[in-house]
Amino acid sequence: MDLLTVNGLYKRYAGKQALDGVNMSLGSGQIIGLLGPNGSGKTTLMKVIAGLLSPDYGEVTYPNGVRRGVASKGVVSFLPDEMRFPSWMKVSDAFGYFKANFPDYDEQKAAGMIKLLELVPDMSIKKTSKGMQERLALALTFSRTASLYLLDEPLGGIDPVGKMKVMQSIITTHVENSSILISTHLVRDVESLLDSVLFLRDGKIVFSGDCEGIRGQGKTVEESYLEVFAGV
Amino acid sequence: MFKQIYYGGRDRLFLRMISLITVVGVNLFFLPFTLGANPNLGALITALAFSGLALSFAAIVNPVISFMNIYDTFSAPKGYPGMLAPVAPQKVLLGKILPAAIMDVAIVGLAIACTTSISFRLAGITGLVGEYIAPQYMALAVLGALGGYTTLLCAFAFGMALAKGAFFGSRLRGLTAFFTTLAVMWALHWMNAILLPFGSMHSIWLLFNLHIHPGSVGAVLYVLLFYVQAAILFLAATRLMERKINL
Amino acid sequence: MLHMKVWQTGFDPRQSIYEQIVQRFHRSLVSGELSGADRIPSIRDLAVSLGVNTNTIQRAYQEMERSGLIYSKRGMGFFIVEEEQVIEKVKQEVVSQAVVRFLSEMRSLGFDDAKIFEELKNHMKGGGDQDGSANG
Repeated sequence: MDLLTVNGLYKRYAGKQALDGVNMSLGSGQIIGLLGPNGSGKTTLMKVIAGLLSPDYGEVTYPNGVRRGVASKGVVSFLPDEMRFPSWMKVSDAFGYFKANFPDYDEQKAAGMIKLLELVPDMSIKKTSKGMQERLALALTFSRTASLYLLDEPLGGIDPVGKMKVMQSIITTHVENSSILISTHLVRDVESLLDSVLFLRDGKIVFSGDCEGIRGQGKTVEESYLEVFAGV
Repeated sequence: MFKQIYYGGRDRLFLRMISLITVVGVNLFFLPFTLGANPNLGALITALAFSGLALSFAAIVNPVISFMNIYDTFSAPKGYPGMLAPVAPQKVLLGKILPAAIMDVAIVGLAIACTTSISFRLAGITGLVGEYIAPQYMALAVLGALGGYTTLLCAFAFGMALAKGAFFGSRLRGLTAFFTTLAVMWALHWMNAILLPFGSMHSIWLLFNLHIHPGSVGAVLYVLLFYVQAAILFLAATRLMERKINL
Repeated sequence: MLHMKVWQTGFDPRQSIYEQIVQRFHRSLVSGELSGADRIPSIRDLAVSLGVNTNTIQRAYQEMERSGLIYSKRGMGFFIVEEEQVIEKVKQEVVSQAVVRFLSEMRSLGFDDAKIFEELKNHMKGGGDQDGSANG
């Protein structure tokens, strides 16, 4: 049973055809990489699935017949590029906000994430480093029990130790009845985490494959990526 | 709604508290001078002066905070985590703006009420405006002023929604919103004048010497109209915002 | 106890990761890090400490279960089997694969068996024909 299907998605955005007929489906219990160069439409695709953008044509199907929009936000947990918090908030306030506004918020998961990602609850958010703010956003995203987690470039601007923690948090959150879609251009770093990959170029899926299958052919996923995108 | 109030009203709370303390403090301090059957005229005038100063302070600080809140919210609505929640976007925007706006309106309203009652007292004693010192007229005056203030905020929100996407520079956006606000208020003023056939109307402050008796139905309708217009403007602003950010 | 806390490094990204994990378990048996009846980490714990997808670890465990090297006890986790034969067989596999690899590398460099022995003696600690069977 597919967790999510995307059918014929088209979106013109900021003057270009950001999504040019995207078709894909995601199974449950998977970690999938959405790979592609900047401007290929990864963020646009994620935002449509997250319910933050409307497609021009096409549709997205969620579990349990849920419709795209306010309802789908209840089953999808999206980590955007930038999460802005009011200047008065401390880290603990951000968790309180999520608790108040998201029915699927889980106190225990939140506590686990705070520990794993080394967040300081009493600290004022505007005083934290950029790295900690990104880890905060990730922790909040993973404090929810969603069917689908969408992570838009979760490794951007994070140091190697931070990267390890981020990846550990992804593995920890990964369970049978949910899936995680990660968009990134840092292929090498996340290879071992992914079950499968989708390559997106100019708003179209140009390749989809199982990672162990690719490796079984004696190629790294990164090499596969270079083949498709750089014609190497 | 309480969680919205808790989270929506915490922005710039400190400034609001200063404003509130100033208004309450000044007016409480002069309370002994303004009460009683035969207050000292000089003391009353002094009380009015300070109360007026406190009002000026609140009338500047609180609207500015509200404007800034609306500006922040409408500048980058998708950045706010609330937009990720399974809640209608209008509610998210409302939740971000309303609690703060209510507090600001309440503080300014309190200041207006205090200053107005002192000035009414003074007017009554000096015999300046004999018949207009009844409490219900004062209440109407305050509500009217607040109605105007609320409409102003909502017109600004509407202006921000209009400007969204039209300009990428934040200053241009802000200016557009500002001029839109002025335009909207001016248009409403004339629209109200046409809608309510009671002659030409100006702000509730001028009710004393105008063609409208504050006890008339027209005056009450005029005040109500402010709030209706404010609600329409705000709903239009949030709807427009939703469309512009592509939801 | 098993020390597999090698975060991500050490995996050849050109080979199936699950196969490499199985190989690592086999090597641990040879080196003595792991013995019969030892408890091994849960799938999730291993996934987190290695930085590898849980599905991949699960596949590795399934493979080892299938080949009879490990078994799972309800509520207690996964264990290496106790049967000596099974473990010996696995160890043998690892050792003989290592030797075969070595020999094939040396032969591809043009060494004959005699020269291979010579090189081995030179590189071993203390040198000399400890087992007395080397000739030449």
